[in-house]
Amino acid sequence: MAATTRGSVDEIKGRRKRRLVAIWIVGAVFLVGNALDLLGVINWGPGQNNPDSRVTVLLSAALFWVAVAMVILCFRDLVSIFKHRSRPPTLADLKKAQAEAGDAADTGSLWNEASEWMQKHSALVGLTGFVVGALGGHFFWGVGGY
Amino acid sequence: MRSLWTWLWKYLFRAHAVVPLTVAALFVFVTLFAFNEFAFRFVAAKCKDIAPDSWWQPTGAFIAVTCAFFLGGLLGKLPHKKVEPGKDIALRATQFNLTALSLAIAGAWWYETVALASNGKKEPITQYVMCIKGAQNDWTILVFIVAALILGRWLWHRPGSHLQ
Repeated sequence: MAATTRGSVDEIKGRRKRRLVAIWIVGAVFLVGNALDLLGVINWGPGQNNPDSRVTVLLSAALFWVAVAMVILCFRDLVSIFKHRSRPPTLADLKKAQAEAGDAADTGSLWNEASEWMQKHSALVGLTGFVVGALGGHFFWGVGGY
Repeated sequence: MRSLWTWLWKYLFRAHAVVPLTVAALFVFVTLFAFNEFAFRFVAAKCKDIAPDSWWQPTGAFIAVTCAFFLGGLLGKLPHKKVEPGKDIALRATQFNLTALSLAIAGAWWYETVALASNGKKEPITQYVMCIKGAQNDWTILVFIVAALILGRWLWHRPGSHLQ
């Protein structure tokens, strides 16, 4: 979407900065949640302290915190979409707006490059996740009598 | 009534919202019937025993699901309608459903963790999945294939995105 309809470069930068803050917050939620699980502050049940099931419970809890982080980020994006009537701007949107405005690009950080690579190769990332999940689930995830 | 149908066609169907809406409706439909059939009287201990997998069963299922993912990727190359300013209902609906899906996944992981930590008092969701696999192996793989197809379509929806 062109910068003329999305707003100025500053607006795009502002939206990206606010979303980055939200990502740091969900990252903190993930870390704090796992730390509380490890310390036993959050009690999932008796199996959490059972040596046979402790690792499985903590891994499952870690995935729960990932899911909670995703809920928070999705809800934040939903509010943003209702407010701005457009999806949160990507790095490509910012680069395009900067090029149209004649600004010098200031998006060459390692994180931005990694983010761009992930966006460009989202299918490869998804396939890798599926392969790792399938192999991990098949060889290491055992529940009940299976 | 005619104007409502025209509105739906213009803003939902043409905006490629029909697939996620159909999946969501199917999800609600299956959930209601599954709840009616199994809630409060599903005994996981009575699940059919599953014989150890031979080498080709997980490998064949893995290949089938991966192929469905690639097929979804091919479907993702179909022209994708851009959201025009002021006509963003599909965008809002998509994000709303994504948020609801995330919430459902978080709820599922919460239950899974509580069940795993219950020392056998509750059965984890993965136990139910294995029960279903034991009774309906073919349907289980079909569900995973459809899921991989949708996932591939979603992750590859942007033009110019290639698996390299």
